[in-house]
Amino acid sequence: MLEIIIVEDNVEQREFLREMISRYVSFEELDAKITLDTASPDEVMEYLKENNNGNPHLYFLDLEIAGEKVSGFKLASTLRENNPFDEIVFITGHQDLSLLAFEYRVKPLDYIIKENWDNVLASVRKDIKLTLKSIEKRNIVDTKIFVYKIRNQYFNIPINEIYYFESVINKPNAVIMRAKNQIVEFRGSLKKIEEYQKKDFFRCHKGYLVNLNKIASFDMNLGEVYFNSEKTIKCLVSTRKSRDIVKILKKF
Amino acid sequence: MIFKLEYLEYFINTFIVILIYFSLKKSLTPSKLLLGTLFTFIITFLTASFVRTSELLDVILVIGISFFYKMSSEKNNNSAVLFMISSVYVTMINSMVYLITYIAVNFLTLPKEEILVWTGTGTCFFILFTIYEIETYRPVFRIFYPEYGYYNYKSGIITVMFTLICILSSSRFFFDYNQLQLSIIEFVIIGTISLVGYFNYIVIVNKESRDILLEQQKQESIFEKHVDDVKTYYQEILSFKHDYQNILQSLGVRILKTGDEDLIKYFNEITKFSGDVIDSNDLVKKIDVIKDVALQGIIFSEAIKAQKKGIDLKLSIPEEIDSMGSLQMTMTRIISILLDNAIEETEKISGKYIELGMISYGKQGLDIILRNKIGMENSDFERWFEAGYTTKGKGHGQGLAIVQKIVQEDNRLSMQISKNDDELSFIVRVENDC
Repeated sequence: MLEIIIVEDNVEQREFLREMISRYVSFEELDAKITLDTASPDEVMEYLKENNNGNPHLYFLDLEIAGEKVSGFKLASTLRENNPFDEIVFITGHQDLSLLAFEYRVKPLDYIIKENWDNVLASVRKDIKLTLKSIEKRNIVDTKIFVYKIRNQYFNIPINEIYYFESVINKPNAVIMRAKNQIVEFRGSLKKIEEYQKKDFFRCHKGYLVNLNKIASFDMNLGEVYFNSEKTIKCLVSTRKSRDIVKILKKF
Repeated sequence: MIFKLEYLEYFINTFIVILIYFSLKKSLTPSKLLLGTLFTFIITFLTASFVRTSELLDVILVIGISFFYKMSSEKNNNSAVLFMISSVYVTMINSMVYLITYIAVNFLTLPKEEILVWTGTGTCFFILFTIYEIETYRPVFRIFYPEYGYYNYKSGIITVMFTLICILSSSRFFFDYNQLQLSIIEFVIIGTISLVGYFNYIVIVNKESRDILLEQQKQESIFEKHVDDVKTYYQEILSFKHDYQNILQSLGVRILKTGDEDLIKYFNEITKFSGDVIDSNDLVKKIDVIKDVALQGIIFSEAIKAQKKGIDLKLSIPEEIDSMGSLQMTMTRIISILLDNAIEETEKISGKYIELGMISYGKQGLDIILRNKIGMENSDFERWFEAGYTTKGKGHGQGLAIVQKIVQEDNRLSMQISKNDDELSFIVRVENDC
């Protein structure tokens, strides 16, 4: 069951939200329930400590709790750190605010601007449905993902979006991941990744670990593998590994 | 004159000293090599026929070189010191190899000459290795370089070492000790003096960096004052705008009371325009959560630069950002380059704003996130990191490469770049190990 938690310091608005959500949930017979509505972030933390039952959560958080912007951010960051799979939706009165830091740190499902209450309710309903759907999806589909850690946060990416991993000169404990539309540096070593991902990845060079599924072509003379037809994404292959990679690619 | 193995040793020793000397001077060319060989022959011949000890000739050489460079107008005349370093280094290696060879062959009971040959070969190997890898070991030699007048004491230490070795080596003609004892004594003396010299060096470098730090603090306080001044001016302008808005509002009420429709219409038009001007964001207030003056300053000036081009720099900094410490200069550089790039990029498209977010993790570090929209012609993300790829004119587009280089050189920094539809995000992470 999905537990819905509302944090909003304006009593009137909170009651209204609770009323509308519970009516919606019971009308649509959704597997969800409002388990807590409160004005205080501390109460949320206490509730979570006491009710650690493994249920997924959906939070509706007011960003400006008790006039202080920080507490909303702190609460959301802590929630995210504690459970990476819970969904968080921000509700804010400020239309023109940049929420970049929130988006990045908390990865909210949505943020809703309190302007037109009809729109707010529509968004709330949409978010509940989305959350339920993603829970369902999580239980069924098991796509291969790669998990990496930056600070204390875990990030994941489907393996079929990764082109290759690269070691970093001067930094023995760092790895750069080159993936579709992104380049990320994190702490780790090619050797460890290679150990865990033996099936899909191949160490074709001292400094590179390539995703075999993503290789488009291989130039033996130049000693380079390419990951797209324009040959713009590429990495080096050592002479020693050239023959191995030809063999492996033939099998693939 | 009868040929003796000792002469060969003289020859090899002098020759490798000259080799090291030239490679330290970065002038090891074939012609110099030839000259060196010729020179070595002469020296060996002189030594063998008259002096019978190479150290005396070394001393004469050093004096000669010093004299020559004093005469010549070359400013950076550390040649004498370099020569002495080479000499000391060769003696050191020689002693070390001798000791090792001695211990190794002691059980095999080889004749004295053979030990000498082995020592020579070993030393040669070491020296060739040193020359081959001279750039790697240059910092070690550099401890003794008198690059600034400041470190003149280094040449002093070298000279002391050199003199001691010369005296020691020459003294074997008066005292009766063998090559083994000599090697041990030389080894210990060079080791001790090097250590003392190294600690002295550390003390002096420490003092120098303290001086630099003091100077930096002084500059920072000046800079801080400057930023404060600018902020005060900005605040004054803001309060003026605020007053002006108040005046307009009360004027509006009066005008409304007159009922003159033409006037009301005209007034509304004017106030709509000034409303846009007045409605500037409260940058000063938002920027105050950044406690690092340099960072604050650079963001402030970039924000004003952006504003002039009609771009809104939206800040998203939910918590206080502490001083950057030793990373201050690096971070200011990175942020200014990234913001400049973003401003240049955003200028070309509609819906002009750039978002800058900062998340503090206390002592553990900081994340800086920059997000902006990109135009169609720059959407080919995959090509950006190809060498020389830029859609701008000559001299532009180096920014990204520079930032990448800075980040890769510092162990505390890492970067993430990602593209999502027409949005581009940069994340620079600072991770202090603690």
